[in-house]
Amino acid sequence: MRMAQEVLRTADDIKAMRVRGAGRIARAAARALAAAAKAFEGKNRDEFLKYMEGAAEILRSSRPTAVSLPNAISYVMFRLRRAYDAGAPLEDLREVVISAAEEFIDYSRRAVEMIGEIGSKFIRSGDVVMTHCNSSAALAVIRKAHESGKDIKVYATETRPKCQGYITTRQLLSWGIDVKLIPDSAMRVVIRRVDKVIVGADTVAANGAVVNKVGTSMLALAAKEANVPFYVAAETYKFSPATVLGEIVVIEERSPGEVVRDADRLALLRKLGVTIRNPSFDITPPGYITAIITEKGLIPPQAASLVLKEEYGWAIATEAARIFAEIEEVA
Amino acid sequence: MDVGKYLKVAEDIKKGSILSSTKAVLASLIALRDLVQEARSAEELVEYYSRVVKAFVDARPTSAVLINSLRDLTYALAISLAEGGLEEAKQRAIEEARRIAENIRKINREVAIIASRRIEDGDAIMTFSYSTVVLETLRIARDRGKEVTLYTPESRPGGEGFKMAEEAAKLGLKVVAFVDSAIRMFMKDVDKVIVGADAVAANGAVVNKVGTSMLALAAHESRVRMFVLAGTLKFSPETFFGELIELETTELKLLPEGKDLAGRVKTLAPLFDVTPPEYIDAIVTERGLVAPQAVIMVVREIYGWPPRITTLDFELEKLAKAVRAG
Repeated sequence: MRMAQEVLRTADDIKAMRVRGAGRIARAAARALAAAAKAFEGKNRDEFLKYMEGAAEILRSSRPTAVSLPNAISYVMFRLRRAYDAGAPLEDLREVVISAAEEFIDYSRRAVEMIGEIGSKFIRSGDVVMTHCNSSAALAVIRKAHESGKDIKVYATETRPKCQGYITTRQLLSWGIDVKLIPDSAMRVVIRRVDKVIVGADTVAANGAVVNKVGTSMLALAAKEANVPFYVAAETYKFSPATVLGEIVVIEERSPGEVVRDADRLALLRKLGVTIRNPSFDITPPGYITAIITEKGLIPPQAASLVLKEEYGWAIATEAARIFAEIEEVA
Repeated sequence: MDVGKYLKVAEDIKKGSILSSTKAVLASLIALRDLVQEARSAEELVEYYSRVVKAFVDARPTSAVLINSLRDLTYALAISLAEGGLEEAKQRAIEEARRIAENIRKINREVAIIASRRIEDGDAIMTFSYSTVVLETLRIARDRGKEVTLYTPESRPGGEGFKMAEEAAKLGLKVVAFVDSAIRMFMKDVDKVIVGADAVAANGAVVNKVGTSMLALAAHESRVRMFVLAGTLKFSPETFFGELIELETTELKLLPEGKDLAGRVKTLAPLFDVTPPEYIDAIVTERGLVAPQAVIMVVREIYGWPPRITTLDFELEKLAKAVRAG
């Protein structure tokens, strides 16, 4: 059975960062699964399950760090497997996948709106807000605050190496929000002029540590030093059930060419044996985070396990049973 | 006199094509020495000299070594012009420029020798921006058989960190380069932080390329020791009388994918920042290591107590008077 073009293209787009941002990646993956289900030409429900698992695997491996991707895939695949186990026929299974994907996409969109609604209440008129990288959830908060008539100013960090701060700046400008762009090296200088920091998240771990674009933990440290509240806006599908069972979040390392843009200089540095490191993400300890704003409400980061138990209890229990069985077998 | 070529040197310093405050001051001294030789009258000397000195200060107002050196040169010129006229002043300019430059090199070398003793074999060291003294320190450590890995962040907006990576690699060091925002992430792999300085203020606060204070904060959080290499010429005597060191800002030069934003978005790019003394473990001077809070004692040794020091403007005024009197 040939894999649907949509799946391969989506995986490729995610890998190349043509589709980026944890929320958008998750929705793209769900959309690709629905497309795969529609494109399936086989006649057999077992074959369909195997084909869908193959598609899920291709999408899951496209980027390692953002948990929204496996969570979106699990959301759809869990419903597929449940229906499969209940003996549903092929056409029903296809329908389950398509509707689960739509449900997830819809839910994810509404979650961002809810976060904007909840988070904007923490912003006062006259506030100066700082953000890092380009997060739909964090920007939803800023946009909502602006739309509800609050007078706010924003500092956006450039966010080297890929400069997602430019995207943030464009969005803020298009909404008519006063924004100033700063280089990442000026974070600590500028934090003194800031009332609140709000950033997004790629992954929230079981202990409340937040994995986000590299530099986030630096900004959190500077905010802590200056006693500036630091908020993380994160949909519950950014919480990682795997970390409950001890899995480590893998920090993706990207190409050196993103760090040293000038090809001649890059060639020279390489010839001289210089190692160029390009980690995409870093980890902000829960102690530096004032609160995580989710679509279900505000939580202290240390209560991440509450969200995980409520939202992914079933997934964690299934996975735990599998791990324990595997280890017992070896013993 | 074609003053343009001297103003061009100031322009190069401002643009950042002359890296490090040491290189900037050496270039300034040569330019001023040559300018004085070209002068056809005392009036012409004073007029152009004052203009170019101001251009240098304007190009790098945070650099204490620049201001201290130009003050010394102007002081010598004013005296020689008043006492011996134009020819005497020309001769003196050559001698003074050479003396000051040699002194800067000597002090840098002594600082580097002392600092290199703090480096242990196998150390991983993080630095920031581009510093002549840090490179000299690493070279001496290497020559004494110590193996060092240097971690160097990019140092936006100037990007001097990549030049530092290149120079350190040429010395045969292992070098790791990365973007500024990854400083905290790599701090856990590092044993020591060693940076240069543009100026040291009365309270021991250090002015250096923007991002240094962030590096210091991250080092402090990770309990990594931070050393600032600053010979006594980097001490800013003006701050002892309450002068604020002026911090320059620049327009952030947007990278290609942000070209559409140019002119549409406000940017804020300070070139320097201030690292508070409590994040600095020691300042390495040519007279030895001192706690940043004890900088004031070193200043007393040099300038007396209370510090007997004039401003650059005062010396320029004296120079102008010497012409009027002559």
